[in-house]
Amino acid sequence: MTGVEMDALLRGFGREQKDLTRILHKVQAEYGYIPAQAVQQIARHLNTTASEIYGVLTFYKAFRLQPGGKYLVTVCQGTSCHVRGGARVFEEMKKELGVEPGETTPDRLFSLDTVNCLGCCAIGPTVVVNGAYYSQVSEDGVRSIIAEYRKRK
Amino acid sequence: MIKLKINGREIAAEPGLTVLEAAQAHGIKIPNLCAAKGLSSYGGCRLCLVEIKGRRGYVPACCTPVEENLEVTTETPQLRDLRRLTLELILSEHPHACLICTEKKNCEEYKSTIRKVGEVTGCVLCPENGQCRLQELVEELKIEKVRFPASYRNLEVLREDPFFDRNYNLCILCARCVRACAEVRGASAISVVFRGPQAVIGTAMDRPLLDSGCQMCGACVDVCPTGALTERALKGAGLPAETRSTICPLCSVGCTIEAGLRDGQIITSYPIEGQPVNDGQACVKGRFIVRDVVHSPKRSLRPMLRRHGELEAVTWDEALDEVARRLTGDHLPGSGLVVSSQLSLEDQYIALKFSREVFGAEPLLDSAGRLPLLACRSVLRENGVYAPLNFELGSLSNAGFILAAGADPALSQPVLWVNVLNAVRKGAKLLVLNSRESVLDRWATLSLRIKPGTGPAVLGCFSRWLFDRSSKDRWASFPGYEGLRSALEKMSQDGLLSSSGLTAEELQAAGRLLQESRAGYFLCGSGFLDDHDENQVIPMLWNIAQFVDARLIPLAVENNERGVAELWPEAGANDPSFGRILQGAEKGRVNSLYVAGAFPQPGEDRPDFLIVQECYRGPAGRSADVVLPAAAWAETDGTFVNIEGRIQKFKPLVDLPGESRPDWWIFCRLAEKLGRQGFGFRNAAEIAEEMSKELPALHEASSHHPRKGKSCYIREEKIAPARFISPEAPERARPIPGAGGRPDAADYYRGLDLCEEVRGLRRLREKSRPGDRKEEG
Amino acid sequence: MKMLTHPTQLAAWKAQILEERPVFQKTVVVSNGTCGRARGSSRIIEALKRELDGRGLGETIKLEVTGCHGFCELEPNLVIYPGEIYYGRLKPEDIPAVIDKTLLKDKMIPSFVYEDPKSHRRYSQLKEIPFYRKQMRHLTQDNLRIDPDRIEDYILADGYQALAKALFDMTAEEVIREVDSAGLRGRGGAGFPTGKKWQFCRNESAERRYIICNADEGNPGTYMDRSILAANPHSVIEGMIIGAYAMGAAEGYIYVRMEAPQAVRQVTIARDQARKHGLLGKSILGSEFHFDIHIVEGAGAFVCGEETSLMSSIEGRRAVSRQRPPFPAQSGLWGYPTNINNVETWANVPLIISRGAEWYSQIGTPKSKGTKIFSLVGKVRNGGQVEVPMGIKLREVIYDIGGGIKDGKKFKAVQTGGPAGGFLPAEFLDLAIDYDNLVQAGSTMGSGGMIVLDETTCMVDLARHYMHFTQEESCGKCVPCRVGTRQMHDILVRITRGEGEEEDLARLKELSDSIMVASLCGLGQTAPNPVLSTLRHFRDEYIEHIRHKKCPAGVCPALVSRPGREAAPAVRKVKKTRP
Repeated sequence: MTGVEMDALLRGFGREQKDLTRILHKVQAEYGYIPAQAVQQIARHLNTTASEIYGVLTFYKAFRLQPGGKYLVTVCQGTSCHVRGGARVFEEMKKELGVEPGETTPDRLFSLDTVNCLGCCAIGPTVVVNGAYYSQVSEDGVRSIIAEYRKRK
Repeated sequence: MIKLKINGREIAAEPGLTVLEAAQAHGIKIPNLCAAKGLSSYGGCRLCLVEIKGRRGYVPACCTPVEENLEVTTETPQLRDLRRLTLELILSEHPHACLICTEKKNCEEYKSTIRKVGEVTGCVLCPENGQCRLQELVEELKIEKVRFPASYRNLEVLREDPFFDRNYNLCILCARCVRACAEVRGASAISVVFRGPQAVIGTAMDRPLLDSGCQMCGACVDVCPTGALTERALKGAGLPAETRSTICPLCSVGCTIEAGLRDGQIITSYPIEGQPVNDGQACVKGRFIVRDVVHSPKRSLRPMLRRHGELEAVTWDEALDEVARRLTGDHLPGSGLVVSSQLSLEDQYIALKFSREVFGAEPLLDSAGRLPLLACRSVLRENGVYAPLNFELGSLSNAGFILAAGADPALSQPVLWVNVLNAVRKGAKLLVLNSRESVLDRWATLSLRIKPGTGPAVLGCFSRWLFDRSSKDRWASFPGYEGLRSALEKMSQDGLLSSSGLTAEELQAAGRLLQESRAGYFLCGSGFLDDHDENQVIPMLWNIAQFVDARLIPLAVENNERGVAELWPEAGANDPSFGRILQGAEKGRVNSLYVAGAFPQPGEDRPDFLIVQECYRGPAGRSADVVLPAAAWAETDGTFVNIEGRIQKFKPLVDLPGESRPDWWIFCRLAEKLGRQGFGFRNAAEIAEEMSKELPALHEASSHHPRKGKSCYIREEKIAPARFISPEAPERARPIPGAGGRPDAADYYRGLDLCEEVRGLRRLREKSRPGDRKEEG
Repeated sequence: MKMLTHPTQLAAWKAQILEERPVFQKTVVVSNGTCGRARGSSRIIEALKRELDGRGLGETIKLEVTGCHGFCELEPNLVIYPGEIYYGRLKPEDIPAVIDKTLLKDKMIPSFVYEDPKSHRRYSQLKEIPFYRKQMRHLTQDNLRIDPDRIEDYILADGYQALAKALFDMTAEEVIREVDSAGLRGRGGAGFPTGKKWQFCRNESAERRYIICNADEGNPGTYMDRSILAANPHSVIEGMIIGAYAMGAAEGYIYVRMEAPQAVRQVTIARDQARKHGLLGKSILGSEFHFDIHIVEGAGAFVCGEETSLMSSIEGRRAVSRQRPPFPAQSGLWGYPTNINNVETWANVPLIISRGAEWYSQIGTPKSKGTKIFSLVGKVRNGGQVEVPMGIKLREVIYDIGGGIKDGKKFKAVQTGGPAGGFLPAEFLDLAIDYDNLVQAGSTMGSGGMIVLDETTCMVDLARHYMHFTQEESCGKCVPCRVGTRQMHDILVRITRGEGEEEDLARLKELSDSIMVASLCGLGQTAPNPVLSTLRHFRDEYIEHIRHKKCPAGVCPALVSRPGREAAPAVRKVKKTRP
């Protein structure tokens, strides 16, 4: 990400505090995370300090500080998914990928994350991979889903 | 006044106060941690919960404004239990073993050096031990055990920034530091980052504070209720055994600073709430480097004489006799005195008296040509304007409009900047006319980059713009109006605009701001006078100030700049070169030069005889024939006049180091050895008496005045009514020959370069200088 | 693009749409909400398109794609008109048969038709299916006939007529009175009377006011708001415009959680369409009323569902909660009076205005009027979105509508109100559902989550789960919530690992009581509810864990011998700020 690219991106947004979340969403969508350089430039754009921007972006789970893997695997931790076996699915996923939530596999293929409800409660446990939803996932299901993506590379 | 009841007791409170503040004002104690004077309400610690009749549940007293007929109960058994549980929860995340340890009393004896241990696992190891708010609360609420399992964040202690450490293992997330940094100082270098149990205080990407816009003002350290933020100095030396008050000499604001002493040494210095001028605020210099200034290893301690080519330590009598011998008869012509502008009023008064007596001439002020207040004053007077210069910093807080020309008060007069910030936060407009980026830009309503040399054209544009829209009736009778009118009408508007480098829109915007301004202050900084011809820009700035009814405030840089201006009105016109002294010389070389200030480099030959009266050893002293060690302000008493015109007295903090003596004493003894009368002063107070009688402006400098606790000011007499000054026509922008050389901040004291002396200050300044600013957030 | 400049143009437009729409013999409506898509409804749609075109049936049989039909358990599903034949649990390969047999020959395919598990009767018509029969789908029935990409579908369903009535036939005060006498209470959880709330906002004199639609539905187990926004976004927008008119607001915000991308997308499309047609913006429907809506996406913080936190988030700050008073109606967004209502609350408004408060107030109980959409999920057989009148019994919802417990298990409890709510064991099955009854029973309505639990659910583990949730979502500002719930969580973890102590229950109670009164906002104040509720109704399960180191439900890994399984995650690591 170059400073020039970032400037071009920022030109599409207003310069008030309330524009911050939309800017962060856009940066996240473009780059997969919020680069340090972006934090500085956003601060200048909104006439505030980098620490203020950082304070806001780290409050929200959506914004990553490191680039993620190719596939972002999100396991639902909602109550309905939980009572339908979600905890075991989550354990299995952690074992299968070998990482904790917030981490990326060494081959940079998978990032693991959790979400506290995806709204597919009647058909849980639910797992999402890069926007693709998987419902009623079982422990075996975890293995086959991951195997599928490993094949795709 | 609002009437309410607290615990059945009727009290009257100022509107706008919180219930907590009202209670505290009446001596009613409500436990609290996150509330702090001057900071917005937070409501995070929940210790100040109280019951209010008619309101459900408990309400935090710090977030509740007083209302008529409120009935507040602050103490119930339930509240007490709740507070204890809350404090125990806080303690569960803070190393608290010492707080509830039964060995506490025995341990006290052994704590003197283990404070230096890196990791704080208990009070005994914490530099804040004995002045920690948590400890106070544990006492107040009588906590004897913490019934929750302890957890330790296990974060690395952050030591990479100068002056203070950050140990967030001790942080209780009251966010006082964040609020002080943002709301009072406007720096927002730190923020609460992450959320929930992961929340910590931090900077963007964990960068050092210096890279995050921190000004090292120490406000966060002062406001932190635990040992999370601690001065490194205290870790080594321990808590001060006593404290004494002083006036900081390191800029023109003259903050009242409390010095913490131990074994006759200053180990720390900090501001105290409620003090005049700075009311609990300070800057990096007053807060962290006073001790380095006073106890520098470079201090000059012994009188020296050069014998056989080498400097030898001698007695005062020997040294002064030699000087006296030299300053008589044939050796006098072509000799003179150079005196430091940073000396106290008493020192300078004696120096003036001495020079007139002994040399028959005025001394040279070592920084005359470089001080903005002197420059402004003398240029205005030359044009028949006797501008009032007294003001109160507090009134800046209520300004409606502030213009900063070539000024970076955040760098040069930080506590003045705090007041400007206060005004801006309350809605004041800020117009910045600087040649380079500064912290001010973030707060500016309009910031215009003014290239060096274009100042007169820019001000000419503004003058013309305002003039064209002004009512002739209103101004026709104002003195100097005709002159101004004819001068302005001669100027070509287009020519002015193109020379100024402004766009038409920028001019329009600035003009409107000026036109609509109310309760305005024009801050003229040294940068402005450096970049442009002061004889042009000062009158123009003055004229614009008259148009919009604003006060012109020259931003004095040094601690006694205003005092010098009153003591020695001609000092502004003082030629800082050797010219005058040389005039009397026979061989075209200076005969005897007595330097009690910065040594003006002659470039040519060294004077025949060099007497150096120095606080710190330096190149001048090393090449001197006589060295006379002078006291710093911290070892003597005296008077400074700050930028407000406030006369402030200071008393000694520590003993005179080595053989050093106050400057006035040295001049007096010398004068006596030269057989002069009128130098028999025994102390600074006697000098102040005579001075206050001789100079009407300094009437309130006599020792009698401050005794009543009232503030003393320079007495200003209006000699002439305000008038317009006819401006010279600003031609094409021309850079000023020999421009530069004005200090933008008094980062020096009596010849000591503070950045060289204190690495932390140098690191900080490197961040503030242009070129480095691009990377800052 | 038709720009409406007069209310009478609405009816004219509707007539025009009807006229211009080609008439088909049969219509197939596919439910394409988030759950549907998760189950492959997109492939069903593809298959239908392919097969219908392939057989040249494009002119005879119409394919409609709509939002959620509500019976999520049976998705992907489709409904065939005329006849409202409901087919569920479809696969793409089933489509040829559906077309050949049912669409072309009107023959039922039993395997796609709902079969009652006990009586084994099959119900092919939607309204006969037990899941739907006891529902009162005033808000959700239009989901069957609205493609959320098309405003015209909403117009056909008499959309924006209520707005026209409010703007031109009623004063602002009359609108508030109507909403008040209807007895509408906030559907977000607090159940505050909506009319009164609107009045507070209107009463504040200020140069501007804001209204907000809280679509940050973060309660795990709930997705009613997401469904409404994704299936019938205009109903919410219309409600907001009416509310803005009533309160005198010129700008509104819809704050949608980002984990509901379909809702974000659909409501944005709907908002843009409304603008194009003069239903948002200046001079709405040619009146003197101006109002526009901004859409803000959340960024993964449950606390943003709390009013003050939500406003901080819209302002672009850290979404920490603020002390109330002042309440949003007095000082909200940027200090201006602000009214915040839940999605479902707004969706009720057009209904009340068009059908009248009297009609509305006849539904429900004396103190809780109207219908409520519940997210019936968990161990229930027929999970989905159910809209029922207030006052219906829990038993009816769980057994008659929900079909009882799946997999032949037994009912243990139902969780309502999410992390702020509680558990209702079997003895409460005959409770009439309304705001006050639920509170009296030790739970809350919440936003409408109803998570059904059976004997394989460990209540202690669930309490721990909710505490973990609170720790993840706490904003961190106040001590009781940030630190107190951590202590509670740690105690519960110990108990689930067989390291519980006798005093733990007393500790939990003491912490709970304190956190409830000392916390700054609703998140902290209600966080202990699940723990208190399980302590109240399932104390013996706690005792089993503590004294006998047993987990009766067979869930807590450390207390259940399962080969090759590791213990549950330990006390969560606190992240260091430096790598």
